Amino acid sequence: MGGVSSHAHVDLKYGDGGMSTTISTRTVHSDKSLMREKMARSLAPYLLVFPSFVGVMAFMLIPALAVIVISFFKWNMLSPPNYVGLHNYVDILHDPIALHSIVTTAYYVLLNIPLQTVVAIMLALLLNRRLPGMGIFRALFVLPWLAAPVAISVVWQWVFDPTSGVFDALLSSIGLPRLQWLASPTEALPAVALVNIWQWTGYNMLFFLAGLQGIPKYLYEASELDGSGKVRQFFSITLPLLRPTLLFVLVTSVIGSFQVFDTVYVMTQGGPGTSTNVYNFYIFQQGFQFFHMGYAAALSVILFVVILLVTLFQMRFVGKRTTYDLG
Amino acid sequence: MGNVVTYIVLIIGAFISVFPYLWSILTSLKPENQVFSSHFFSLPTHPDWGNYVHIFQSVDLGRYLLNTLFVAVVSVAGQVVFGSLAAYAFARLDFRGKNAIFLAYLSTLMVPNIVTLIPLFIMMKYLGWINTYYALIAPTVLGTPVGIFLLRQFFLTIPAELEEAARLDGAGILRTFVQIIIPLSRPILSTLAIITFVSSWNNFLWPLIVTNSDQMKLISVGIASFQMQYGTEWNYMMAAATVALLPLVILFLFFQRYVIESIQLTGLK
Amino acid sequence: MKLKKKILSVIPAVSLLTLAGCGVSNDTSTSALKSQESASTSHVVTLRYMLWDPNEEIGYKKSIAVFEKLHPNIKVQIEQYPWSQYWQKLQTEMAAGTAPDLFWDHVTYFPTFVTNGQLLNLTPYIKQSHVNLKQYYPNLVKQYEYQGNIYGLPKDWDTIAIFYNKDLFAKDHVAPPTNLTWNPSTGGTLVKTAEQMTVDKNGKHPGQPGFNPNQIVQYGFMSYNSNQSFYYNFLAENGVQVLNKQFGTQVLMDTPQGVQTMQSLMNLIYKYHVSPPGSEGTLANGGANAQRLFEQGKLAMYTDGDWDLTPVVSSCKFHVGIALLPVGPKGRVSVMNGLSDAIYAKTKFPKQAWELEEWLASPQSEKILASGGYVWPGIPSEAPLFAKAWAKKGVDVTPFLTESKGKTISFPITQNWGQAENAIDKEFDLMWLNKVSPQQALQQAVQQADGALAGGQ
Repeated sequence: MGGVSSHAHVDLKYGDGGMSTTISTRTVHSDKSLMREKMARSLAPYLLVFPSFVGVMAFMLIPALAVIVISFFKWNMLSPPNYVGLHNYVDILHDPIALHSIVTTAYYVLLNIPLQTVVAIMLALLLNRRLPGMGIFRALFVLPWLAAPVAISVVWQWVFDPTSGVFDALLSSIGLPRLQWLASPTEALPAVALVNIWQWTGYNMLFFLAGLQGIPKYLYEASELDGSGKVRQFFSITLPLLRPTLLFVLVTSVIGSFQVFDTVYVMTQGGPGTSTNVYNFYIFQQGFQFFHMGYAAALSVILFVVILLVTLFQMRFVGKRTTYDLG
Repeated sequence: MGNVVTYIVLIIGAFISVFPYLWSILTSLKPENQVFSSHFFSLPTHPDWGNYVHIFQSVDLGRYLLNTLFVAVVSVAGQVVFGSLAAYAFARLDFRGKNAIFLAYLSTLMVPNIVTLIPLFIMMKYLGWINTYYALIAPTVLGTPVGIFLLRQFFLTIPAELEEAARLDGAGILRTFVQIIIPLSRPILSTLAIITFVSSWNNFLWPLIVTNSDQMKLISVGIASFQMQYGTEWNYMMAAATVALLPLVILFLFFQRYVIESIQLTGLK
Repeated sequence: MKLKKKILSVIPAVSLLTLAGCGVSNDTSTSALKSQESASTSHVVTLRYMLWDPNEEIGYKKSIAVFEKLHPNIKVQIEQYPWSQYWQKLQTEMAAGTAPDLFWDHVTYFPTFVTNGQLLNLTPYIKQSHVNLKQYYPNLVKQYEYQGNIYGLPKDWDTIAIFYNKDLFAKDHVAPPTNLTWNPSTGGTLVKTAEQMTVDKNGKHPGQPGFNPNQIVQYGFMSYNSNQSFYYNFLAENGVQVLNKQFGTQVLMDTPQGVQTMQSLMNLIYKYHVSPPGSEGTLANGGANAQRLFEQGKLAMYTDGDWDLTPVVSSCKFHVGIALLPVGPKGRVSVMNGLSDAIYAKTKFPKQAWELEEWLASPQSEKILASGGYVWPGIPSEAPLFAKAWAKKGVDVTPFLTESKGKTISFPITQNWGQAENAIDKEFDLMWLNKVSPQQALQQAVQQADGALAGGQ
């Protein structure tokens, strides 16, 4: 009994409204078996979460927190570190390349996310129809994501080649002007975004497909009886019910595109000039090519804060009504 | 009419998805001196399986494939079991610190792994796990934030009445989970299984850093070994990439058939 | 709550371990000689040896097989990782104190490694084993020297020469480019020959009436943003020094001669129209594009290092010729660079690692690698073996050797060069794209590079 009531007490004390309202206080019973069950019920969540907690803690959270500590040091990984307080952070404020790479990354995220998400939803809607051959198409659309990223990035370098690449052959054959793609300071970033959209759209489509399959058919049948059209159905049924999936896709793909690295590393090395010098590539350069690991850690902490804010924003506005009842 | 438009859109989309592979498969069948000849989709003069023979002879590709398969299968099993347990708690149960813990999980994704890999590597050193399967499996086998997030979002959409009914029948949490939630979650669990499998199959940087010996290499690291300082042995690399891709395609076709058909049969949705 | 506390106490511990990882056993480098006796027991020791080139790996396997026979109590585990991840892996392992016993070292990274105590000082071992340093190219020995001590024995080298398409020259009835000249004002016979080998869609050459620079189907030469393979050589031939001295902190490229040289290299694209567009020659893809255009038969000649012999020759359907670099105002000058094997300062087996180092830099091992045609040997007397191996494949590679015996310059060797080079590369990309003038590019590049060498972020 003590355990339960103390729980209830703590909950009242720490309960933060919408966040974690838990076992209600009126559950204090004298019935022993009922109490044991209550105990089990209050312990169960912790037991369920425990294994993952150990894993995430040990292999992700602690290394991430170590990065925060490193950010207060000057450290080249080869000699003992020196504590420098906030020095690295102050330096970042005066680093034009860092500031430029923040803008570049934001631009990249904007190029990437809307197009990728909308196309993924549209493909999922098309593929969710019961037509012959859909299984094959599903597999084909997922193919870009199945490939080893390194191998596929080298292929794209060749696709984009300004004198003998496929894209330019295509453009000039239909009378459009040739583009410079990766060789042009203005076209390189969109080209990198294009490759990532190509690679990740099918992946995101998978989640939308799974989400669509979770929507009960009778909802559509009912609304058809009401005489609503397909477009209205999409906005009144499909989209609201896809909201949890949408939140997942948006949060994870925004996190991923803020950290874009592989394609830039293989295809452009941040160039030409600084046109594709995205933030995560700059972190890599500072850490491993310039031996400023403390500075790289401070850059990472700033990135972390930015992504965290964007994610909280998304959870608030996209995920607002995730816990509705399907009724 | 609508169907015709659907198919046209799908065929165009499919071509865009596939065309780089056509090049890589064609390249994998060419001798080195035909790789860049003439235009993009030029056919090899004689399809040449020599590249495939070469890659299996020059590196221990079979061993790499087995290693990768082992790591991927164990990761999938762990992720599905532990990930779904945790996700269920996050989605359906109330407990103190729930949101804080969940946010902490997500926040680990927001620090670039380029910098976290140094502390992680040093930790592996003190655990004595460098160059072992433990180091390859441990970070995913207990459930990852992405996996848990995915399942949590799906569990949130399952009607609460279904559970309540079970609870009134006297079912405990675990039984409710196994008997009610799991059967309804087959599509999403399969999706999770696929994405976990593929991402551990293609995982590159961490395996490269944390293993040293040839016996421990994974396929992704093996493919990259055909890269040189200033260029790439394209024909070999594409042959290796094709070999690595094939199992994934087969797996995907198998999985999605199972998933889709199981949903359509139950008719519940 | 308790859990929280425990967790909070773990975090600083791990961070400290991380930060301390490198410092923990810093003293082993000095005690290396002392531990020699204890390590020389009879049981078998496995050395880790890391390298990046998949082609040379085959040759090294052959050499190491012989070494293992001669040293039955040493096993060598060769670890090959691609250049693009090699350094990240090495540095991570250094941070944890677990780097391989032996690894390929490059002049870009050597200064940082040596000044941070990561490399074993070989001078005492060299004396003890009476290694004859005179047998090597003296400039190669000097590359891995710091404060009078040696941190790597020369085992190979490379120079830059012209790769040309023999069949194309024969077809177009142009004399092979074996004895070209170059000067920054007129371009010399390099430009003349390149013009003869550049052809537009209608068969016209640059300079002829009706030549259309937008419809070139075959280029004579390639101007691309690569320092070692391309512009360092021309700068040196015009008397321009890149860095003031080994371990210096001043970049000297922005002299009038420097501007003149770069302008003349841009003229190859924008004035003489003998080179593929600047967009083909940018940093990230320039080298790969040059190789590819050459292999496709669209590029008659370009400059490249001998490390690319194997991939280029095996990818070409025509006969590849190698020619000396053109003679510039200050003569013919090539960048000459060599790799060495570094021994990790914290190796548990310094004695065995030294034995392997000594073997790999010995005439016997260099003979194996040279005669297989894998790499030019650091010992000049073994060089003919390499030339012979390539002669068998129908390629005369002696121009590389001739250059190595003539005037050469080394790569800039100093701390933070990686960062300085990055600043130069980025600025030069814009010059190649004709967005900034050589004057502006050099000024910007040198300013940023000097800042990096002074230790700036």
